[in-house]
Amino acid sequence: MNRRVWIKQIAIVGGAILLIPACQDDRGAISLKLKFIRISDKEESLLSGVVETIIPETGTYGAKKLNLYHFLLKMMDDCYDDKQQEIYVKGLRQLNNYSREQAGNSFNKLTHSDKLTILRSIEKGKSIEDLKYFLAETRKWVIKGYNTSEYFMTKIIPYELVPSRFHVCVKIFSVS
Amino acid sequence: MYDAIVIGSGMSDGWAAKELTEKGLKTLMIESGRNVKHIKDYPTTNMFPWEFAHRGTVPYSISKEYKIPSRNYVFDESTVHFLKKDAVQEYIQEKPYDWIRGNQVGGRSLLWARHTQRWSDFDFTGPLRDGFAVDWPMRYADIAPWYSHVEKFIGIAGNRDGLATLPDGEFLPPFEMTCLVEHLRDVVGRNYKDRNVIIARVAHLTKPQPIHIQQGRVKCQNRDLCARGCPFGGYFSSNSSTIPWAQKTGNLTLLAESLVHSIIYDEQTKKAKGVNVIDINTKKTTTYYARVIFVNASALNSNLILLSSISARFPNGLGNDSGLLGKYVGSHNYRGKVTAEYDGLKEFGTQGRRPTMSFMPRFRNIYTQETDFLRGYNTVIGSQRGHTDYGNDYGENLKANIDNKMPGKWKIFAQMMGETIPKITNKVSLDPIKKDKYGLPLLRVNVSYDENYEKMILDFFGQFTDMFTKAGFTNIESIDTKHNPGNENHEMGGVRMGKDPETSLLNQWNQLHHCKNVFVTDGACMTSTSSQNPSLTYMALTARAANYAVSELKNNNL
Ligand SMILES: Cc1cc2nc3c(=O)[nH]c(=O)nc-3n(C[C@H](O)[C@H](O)[C@H](O)COP(=O)(O)OP(=O)(O)OC[C@H]3O[C@@H](n4cnc5c(N)ncnc54)[C@H](O)[C@@H]3O)c2cc1C
Repeated sequence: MNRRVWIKQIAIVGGAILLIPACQDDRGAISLKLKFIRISDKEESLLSGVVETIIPETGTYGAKKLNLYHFLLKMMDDCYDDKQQEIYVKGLRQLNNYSREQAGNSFNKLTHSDKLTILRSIEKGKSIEDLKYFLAETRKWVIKGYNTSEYFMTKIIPYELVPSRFHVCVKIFSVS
Repeated sequence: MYDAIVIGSGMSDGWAAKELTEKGLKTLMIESGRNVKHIKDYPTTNMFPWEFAHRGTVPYSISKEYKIPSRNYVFDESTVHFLKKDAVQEYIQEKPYDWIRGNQVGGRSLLWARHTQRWSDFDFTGPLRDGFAVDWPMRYADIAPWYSHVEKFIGIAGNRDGLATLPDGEFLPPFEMTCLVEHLRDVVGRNYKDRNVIIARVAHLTKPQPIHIQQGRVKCQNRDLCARGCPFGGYFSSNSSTIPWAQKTGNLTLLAESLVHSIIYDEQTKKAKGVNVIDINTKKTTTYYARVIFVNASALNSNLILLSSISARFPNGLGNDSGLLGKYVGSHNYRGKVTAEYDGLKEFGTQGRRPTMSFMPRFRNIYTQETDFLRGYNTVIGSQRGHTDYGNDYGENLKANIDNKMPGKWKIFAQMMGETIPKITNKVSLDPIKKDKYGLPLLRVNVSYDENYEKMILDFFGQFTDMFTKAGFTNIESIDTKHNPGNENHEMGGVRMGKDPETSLLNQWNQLHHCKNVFVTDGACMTSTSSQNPSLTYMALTARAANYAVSELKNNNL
């Protein structure tokens, strides 16, 4: 269990005021329990800002409704080794600096279209390897979280567990 | 005292048990892994993609215990429980080697890709003609009836293509090719006399026959989720087919979580009399006795058991007078892959799923030696109309692509399956000192690629680039996966068959030349590797050997 979350829970449940100061730092607790990755509540909201920029709500659900950044954090926390996790978090922490340099403001304060411009530019940026890694992993899992969500696989492009058929050559549309 | 002991419960083992118990032999099947009952023990079989916490990826805390199998394509969150953890059986890689192992009743029959090609005499006469290994002590005609015997029972979907290189079998209706592969087939047919694109033959029930219904299996539902275990029994696994069948005879005793340490040789009778078995949980050793022993622990583990079976008569391993036990180990050459796209057939796509692909039988060096490498390769060909490309963008553009219901380009790939040349230097041996946690010596594996192998990959790249170019494909890419040997799942040899006890371990009936009541009928027995998938041949050899063993027992020759 995330130690900070745990302490906060103890504090709330038991009113154990004594415990709080020992472990309190400037990071607030985040909204889910992680085993390895340590980020603050501010970093959490930065991350969710990135995730929502990648998969925004359009005519169909976006990242927020599908809680994709929880899935993303779970993937990063469960499926990577400590070195990769460290680079990932470092990359996340570089984002606001990069955004200030490029667009004059921290990422979450930008408009949606400026956020997109920032994300698009990262790939071509120099000396920001950790940030690139952060973005590539984030993009990969946010897409996966979206296109394998129950919502997507029942409402958008339905998945069949038991197709019972394979049509090798069906006419799907006519080309003019 | 049993009539027969079968070591292992995987694909070939299940066949030994089925044949022996049907013929009335009281048979003990000993499996080191846990029991897996058909359907009941397939925990992921009916899960939707979103029900997997990591949507298929195995969490690091688990995958780090499966470093070796994690490099195999079949490894994911839905199948990991059917693979062997590295620490359960450590081995020493003198050279990098991916030993992909199951660890349960059914062995790898749960996980396999179900491709079932008969071998032909072009395969069985390979060593003789090209001067490697030793001559097989049998020919196609000897095994053909046993292929039929196995095929009818397990069910093979296939087309009767009438090709000399790939004998037809007892087929259920074939799966069909996509229109893209039909296009490739036509182009290849127009340009080459000796090349054929056909639908792969696979162990699936496209039209179950009474014999399959009796096994409790029904029609394949095209889920293509086979490696999770199939609740329909739509493909053949020992769990859905041979093992319950053997159990129904009342003659099978199944002992799971029991590791065979060695076979005991009786100096008086000059026969094997039983096996030493370690209980995985208590680590206690028990001895079980039988009149005949089938060694089917999968190729390398069968080598290990024989090498560990030391006696005054056989100080270097059971039946190992020739000193060749553990040598001439072979693999398959699966390293090459060619991928491409196609801009045509725009108005057509596919619908549903299919648990198979198309196939090009070997065309190299069939009638004469024509290249600067020996032997040749089959090719598996997969194609589908992909989804709209997601592109590189973010936000609304990306999402529009993901949500798009229109298909993208046709995609196609060719995966080589090459024959390799078994060599004395490709071998397994026992570490003289190190033992695993159950007291079995660690196996040292020394298997590597050679020049023939590398040349064959280049030829494959060249030939498929040509064929794909002629078919009008674009973005043709040759990929060398650089997989370690073993990763192709087809380890073979070490206890090879042959005519001469000086140069082989087993005779034409898979009996140890020097200990006739021990039969080795899994991949260990293979004299050469052919380019065909091997397991159908293991099963046919096993059925043949088991029936021979039964008649020899009856005639008091064992
Ligand atoms: C992903 C994948 C895809 C494949 N695709 C194909 C394919 O398309 N076509 C094809 O022909 N083949 C394919 N194969 C290979 C095929 O699965 C094997 O050739 C086949 O299962 C071998 O049968 P077997 O009985 O020798 O061994 P296994 O099926 O591996 O079973 C051996 C059993 O013996 C047990 N055992 C081992 N040591 C001991 C011991 N000391 N004591 C007791 N028990 C022991 C093991 O736990 C195991 O259960 C594939 C394999 C994999 C993993």
